Amino acid sequence: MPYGPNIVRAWFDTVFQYAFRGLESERVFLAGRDWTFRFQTRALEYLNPLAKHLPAAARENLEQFVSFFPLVRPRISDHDFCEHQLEENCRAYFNAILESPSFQKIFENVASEAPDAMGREFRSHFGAYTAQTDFMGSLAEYLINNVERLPSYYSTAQLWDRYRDRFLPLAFDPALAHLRTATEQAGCSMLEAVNDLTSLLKEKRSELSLRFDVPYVAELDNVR
Amino acid sequence: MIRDPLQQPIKLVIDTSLLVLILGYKCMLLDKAEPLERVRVLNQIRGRDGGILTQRFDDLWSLFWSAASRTVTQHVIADGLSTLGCGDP
Repeated sequence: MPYGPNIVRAWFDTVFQYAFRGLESERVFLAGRDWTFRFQTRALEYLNPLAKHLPAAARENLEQFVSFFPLVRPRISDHDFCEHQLEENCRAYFNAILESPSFQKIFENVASEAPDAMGREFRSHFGAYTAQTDFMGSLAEYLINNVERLPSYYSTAQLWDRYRDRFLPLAFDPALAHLRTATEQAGCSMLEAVNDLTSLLKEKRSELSLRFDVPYVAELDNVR
Repeated sequence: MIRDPLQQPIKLVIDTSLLVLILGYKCMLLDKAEPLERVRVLNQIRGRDGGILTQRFDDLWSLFWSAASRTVTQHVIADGLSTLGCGDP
């Protein structure tokens, strides 16, 4: 065997530890149908290709591991492909929302009503953002990420909690429904890929641990 | 502007463990670190395992900035700087 306990220890500490943490984080977001899409970057903030969940210096260890376990590579590729698809779908859905006459009309009505109804300027709900495009982007982002109630310390919490039900029917707008469905399906696919990859990595970790007598966690001080 | 009489201003009292996380978050923003890198560094700063949700760091940041007032004692500042390896104040 060209590798031994030292290399296995390194894989556990620099690859598996971070991979499992990243995959678990993704699982929680995906199970909650929160795609972590961000309007400023038009990207998914916390759903990423697997390698990005590892520190940059550890990615060579991942490559080494995969070179000895080629069955893992297709599962990683599936995961990364699903992430890419979900991001593309979110982008398309986001662009369609912004261009939707229905969304624009609802936004204008809310912007017009909110100052009197809530006793403060509309722009004050959006923190540091000052442009109307950013206001619209924020609200579209909540729609895409299926945000329900926001914690009260978010500047947009009161506005979103009050007017969320005005925006929700957009999901069934003929121009948007198919994009929403595609996004939801992409999210389900990615969740499946996350679960499959997690299972396979756990299986390989268990085999290595028992074969080389290397515990998953060596010392608690070394584990973050 | 009329303040909502039911909305109480948030007053935060921050201890060392929260201060270093907030400073770390700001540093990551200034460094334009990618979100996953930011989460990794903040988990290291936190220094404990325990499955904290990724979102909690963002929530802490939002809570900090939404507070009407924030209290940090001198002792906590000194302790926090020491934790971050910034030497004696």
